[in-house]
Amino acid sequence: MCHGRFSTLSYIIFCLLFFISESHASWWGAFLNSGEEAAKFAKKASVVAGRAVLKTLPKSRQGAHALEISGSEIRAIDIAGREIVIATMSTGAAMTLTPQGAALLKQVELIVSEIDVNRLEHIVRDAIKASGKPAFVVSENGTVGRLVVRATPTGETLLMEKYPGIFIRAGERSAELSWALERPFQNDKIRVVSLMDPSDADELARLDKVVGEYHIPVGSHTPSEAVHQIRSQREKTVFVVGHVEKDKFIVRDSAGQIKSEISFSELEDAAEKADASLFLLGCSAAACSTTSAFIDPVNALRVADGLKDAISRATLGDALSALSTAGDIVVSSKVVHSARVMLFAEQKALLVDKRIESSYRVLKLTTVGRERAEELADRIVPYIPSWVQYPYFVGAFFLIFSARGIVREWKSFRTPAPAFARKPIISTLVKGIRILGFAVLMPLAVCLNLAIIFGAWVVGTVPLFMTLGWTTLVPAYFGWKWSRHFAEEANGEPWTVRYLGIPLFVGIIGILVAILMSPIELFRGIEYADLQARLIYWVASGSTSMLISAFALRFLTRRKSNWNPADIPGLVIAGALLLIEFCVSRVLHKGETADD
Amino acid sequence: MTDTAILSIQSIVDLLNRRKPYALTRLQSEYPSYRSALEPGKKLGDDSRPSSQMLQDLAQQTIAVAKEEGLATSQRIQRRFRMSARLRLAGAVVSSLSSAGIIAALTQGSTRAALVSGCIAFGSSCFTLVAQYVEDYAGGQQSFKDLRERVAIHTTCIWEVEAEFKLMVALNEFGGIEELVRKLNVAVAAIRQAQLAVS
Repeated sequence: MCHGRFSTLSYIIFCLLFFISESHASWWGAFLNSGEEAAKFAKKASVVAGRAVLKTLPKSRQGAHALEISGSEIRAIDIAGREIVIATMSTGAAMTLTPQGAALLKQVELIVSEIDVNRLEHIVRDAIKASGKPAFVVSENGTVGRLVVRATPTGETLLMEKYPGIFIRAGERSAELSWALERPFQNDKIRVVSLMDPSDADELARLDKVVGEYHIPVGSHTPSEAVHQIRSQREKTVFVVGHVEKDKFIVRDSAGQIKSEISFSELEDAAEKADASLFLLGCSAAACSTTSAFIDPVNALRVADGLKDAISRATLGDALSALSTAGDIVVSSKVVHSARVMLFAEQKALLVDKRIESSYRVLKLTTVGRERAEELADRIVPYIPSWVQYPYFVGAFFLIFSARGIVREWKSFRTPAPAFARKPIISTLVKGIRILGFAVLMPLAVCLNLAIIFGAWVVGTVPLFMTLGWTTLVPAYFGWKWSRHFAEEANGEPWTVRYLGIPLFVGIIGILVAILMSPIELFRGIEYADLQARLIYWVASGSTSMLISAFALRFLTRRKSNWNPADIPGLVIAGALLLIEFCVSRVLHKGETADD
Repeated sequence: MTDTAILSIQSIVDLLNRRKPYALTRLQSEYPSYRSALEPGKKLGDDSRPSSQMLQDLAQQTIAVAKEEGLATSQRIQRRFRMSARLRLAGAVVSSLSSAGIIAALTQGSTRAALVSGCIAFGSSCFTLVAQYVEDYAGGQQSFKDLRERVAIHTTCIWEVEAEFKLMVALNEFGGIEELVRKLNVAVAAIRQAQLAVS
């Protein structure tokens, strides 16, 4: 044993020394890098593989050629597998087209692997311009996107479709952009700033209807006020909708006269200072801006409809895909910085939540007594029976720990209230219903939630352990298995919620077994029976429990089932929130006009 | 600031799309090169300059509809005005009656009846306040009086445009068609704005 320990220790020390030495570290680094390169090549081989990609295309596109870099040569492969060398690369990565290649590129559609796009950028760009035919890119996960050439501030640029309708500029770090696009998209963090004259009433009304209070019309403001508005949107996702002429948003009235104009650079500076993600939603704004923007001409009503779809999506990528129904969008790498800042802010907020929670844990020890609470309740809300008041105040107290989380979750799915300036009465009603509904219902919901958790643990375990004895351990074990099955989903919940499956199983199956056993004469008055009768009872009740528990567990954890015991307490809170939102939707529905 | 005015026909196209979509479809098929300009909804970028012939057809199709729209909006505002005035009158009447009720109840020494009358008086004065608010601000901080005046001005403007257009047709001289369409677009936009404000 001792020898074994020493040999393990010496092995670890040897390995450490091996890494400590600089030359060895560089050797390992090179080895690991070469592994990465090998993996890349393998992936590339699997993605491009000439004919394999071409065969996935429709028949009309089967004249296309796949481009592949092979050593110092660039080859075009057709569907039959014929290879033509179209260019050669020198050591400085300069490319020389072969006469065959120059002729071919003027005639055919091209397909390129995502890994090669940056290196083949010039060839593909020139080919698209020369042939006027489309080109495609095959991503690492096998999906096919478009390659287009558009004018940008840095000249004509090759844009690569990363997700449906979402393009990135060739040469930008697509891995970081992918990370930013997969970040959660919270609809309460978006702001739609419209730069339109009040005479564009239909467009403004549509935006109001779609995003409600998150719509900020600044068309009638001065340019500096509009810029200030953007500046005040800290860590938000800001969509600026307006009429674009060259590199400016221009507000024109219905007579076509210019009312105000704001350059893209002013908006970009303001957004950068506010750590906000900026999207310029105007015709071909990408041609004059390095920010995320539309590539081609768009229509304001379609943009509004796209925004309507976008705000209900889970990730930024999905939201932009929904928005791209109005027109293709190019996403800038600037969103990566904003996404990082937002992530940092969210983590900081969680830390504050935890601090608040721990400080209230201390307060909990010195809370007011029951008599005092009764007295206070009588003073504040007279005429309300105490059986409502007790749970209300108990719930209100525990709500302190969870209110922030509940409100955050609520914000993510609730419909935005209409803007006050447009519909003051409905806006006030919606906000009033939400505040009143939360104040009245939520303490009661939290109390009911606690009653379910603690009630299940107390009622579902203690009395049954006393009556059924050791056989109660059987459903308890299956209850534990049930909770373990959903352990990942319940991660972060307190253990009383995480293992709620145990008391639920014990309670329901224990009572069921007790009912099944009760008609049998032998088991009547089992507490006073002899050891033999008790042993038979344990075996019988244990086997029955096991049988029922196994069937129940199989049913509850079958594939695609979502019977997570830890979700049960959350249903009460969700129910209260849905009830409030139902009332709000009734008011919002009444506020809709006949024109809508 | 560059002060180059462009000719916008957006409000006219939107009006046709709402009220006479078949006429808009016909114009789109007659003028395929201006299809983008004849699409409903604001284009968020530069658009091609419409031809004189297309503007003539557009004006001809729109003027009658614009007049109807102006009258309908004007009537709707009038109705709102009347409703608001009735609400205010009802509030004032109930308020005066309940004030009289308070006095009567107090002379009889019935505190409960005085309390009930007081509550009714309070409620009806709230009604009056709501009516005042609706009249002055509802619909995006625009008072009904302003809206009524604006709609009247722009409806008159549409009548003027109609007369000018008839004169152009009679003289077969369409030199000022752009200016005429511009005026029509402004009037239609203002009426639509008022319409949405009171809806």
